[in-house]
Amino acid sequence: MSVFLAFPSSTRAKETPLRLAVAANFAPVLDKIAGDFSARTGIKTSVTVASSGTLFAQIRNGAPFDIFLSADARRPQQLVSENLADSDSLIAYATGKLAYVSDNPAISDVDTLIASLNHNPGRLAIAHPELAPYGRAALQFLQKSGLEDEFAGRLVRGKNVLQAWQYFETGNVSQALVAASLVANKHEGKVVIPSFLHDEITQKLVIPGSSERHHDAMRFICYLVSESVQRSLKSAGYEPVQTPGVCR
Amino acid sequence: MPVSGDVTAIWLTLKLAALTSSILLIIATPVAWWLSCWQHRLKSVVLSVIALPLILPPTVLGFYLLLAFAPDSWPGQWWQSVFGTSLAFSFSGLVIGSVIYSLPFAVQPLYTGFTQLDRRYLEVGKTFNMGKFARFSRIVVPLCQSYFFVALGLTFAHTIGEFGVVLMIGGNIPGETQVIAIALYDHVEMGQYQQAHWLAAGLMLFSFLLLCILYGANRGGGRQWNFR
Repeated sequence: MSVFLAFPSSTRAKETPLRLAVAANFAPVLDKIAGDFSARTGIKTSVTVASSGTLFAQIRNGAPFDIFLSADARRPQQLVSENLADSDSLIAYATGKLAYVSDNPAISDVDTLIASLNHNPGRLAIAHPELAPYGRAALQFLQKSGLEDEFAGRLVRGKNVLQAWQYFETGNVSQALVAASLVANKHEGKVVIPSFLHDEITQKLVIPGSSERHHDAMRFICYLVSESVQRSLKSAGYEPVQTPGVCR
Repeated sequence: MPVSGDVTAIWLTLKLAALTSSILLIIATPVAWWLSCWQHRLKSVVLSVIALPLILPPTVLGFYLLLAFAPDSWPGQWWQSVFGTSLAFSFSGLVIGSVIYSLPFAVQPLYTGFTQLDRRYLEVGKTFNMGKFARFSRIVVPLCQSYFFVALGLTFAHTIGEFGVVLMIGGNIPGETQVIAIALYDHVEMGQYQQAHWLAAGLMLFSFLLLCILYGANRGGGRQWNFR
């Protein structure tokens, strides 16, 4: 009997993938995790990438996502307070780190970084501070280091952190402040910014109220915050989070 | 009312559109004239290349421009060595992008005008010993006046609404590369629908009025703005 009951649900899972909406910084990591999850469970997934602000606006306007993985805590929280998402599913899934990258291998710690930025500003790519949390963190770092005025008019703003990184990657700017996850494999000319120089980037997720796949979404979330997956996040440029009680 | 950042964006966009349409008129006039006189097997290929920006997603153009503007590619390098600035994320970069993006909107109306022109007028001009330039400026330009007007108006309007190219090569710098469409996009993303409405309704009204003027100017025949 249970086989019969399981059968329709598994075919339905085959038809429509679990729709994941993810902030740009976590996209490369999520791709791999979603692939592993699908291989284990047979539940297909599809990943939509944008800035947290974009996805938030889309979900408010009824975009059909099953999980919203934001780069901050504020936007998923706001969806909950607007009754557009389920408060039980508001869970932290990673703590982000900000990193500075440049063409200059001599810049290897924060002190040389701040000295060199004071000395020779040039153009700096960041994510849009009002749309992308990593952009906001980048701006806070500049403010706390007393560099904000130096960079007035020199900040090139990508619509999300991936675009800011792409500006650097294509060689159009020689330096950028991006998510450490995007440059996890880069070892020269990278400085991970100490977390006391900006507000903590706690990344939270939530299941939008419009989702009809609550059960599958919850399975995915619990896989994502499981200890083994969280341990693997360290090498990807994140601090792991505690597995919440819901998933134990 | 629009906030001050929007006023900056509006000015920047108007400046970009005015500059782009002026440059394009200078480039498109000789190109369209040459095309209207030229007969060759490869003509359709040349016409296709010029018409490409009509079909291509602007992001395609933006992507290739982003690669071309990089300091390690030759166009980017050349610009850097001549002007000492980088092309990406600069107003100059947007002007270059817009000129390519709006090229067919300038060439096509002029080409249509020049092909419809009765060449006997020019023969008459020759018998009066008029030089090449005089024949063009005193015969062709007055006879094709409405086509010049349409070319100017269309390129201006098309540049005002540019989004995809700017999104790729602009970098969203207020006063430098933040055009109206980008400012509007930002407002919508931030949930500032009030400001978004101002910009959107303004663009709507502006585009409509401009098209009314263009259609009005074009009443005297030659309603085709594209290659036949």
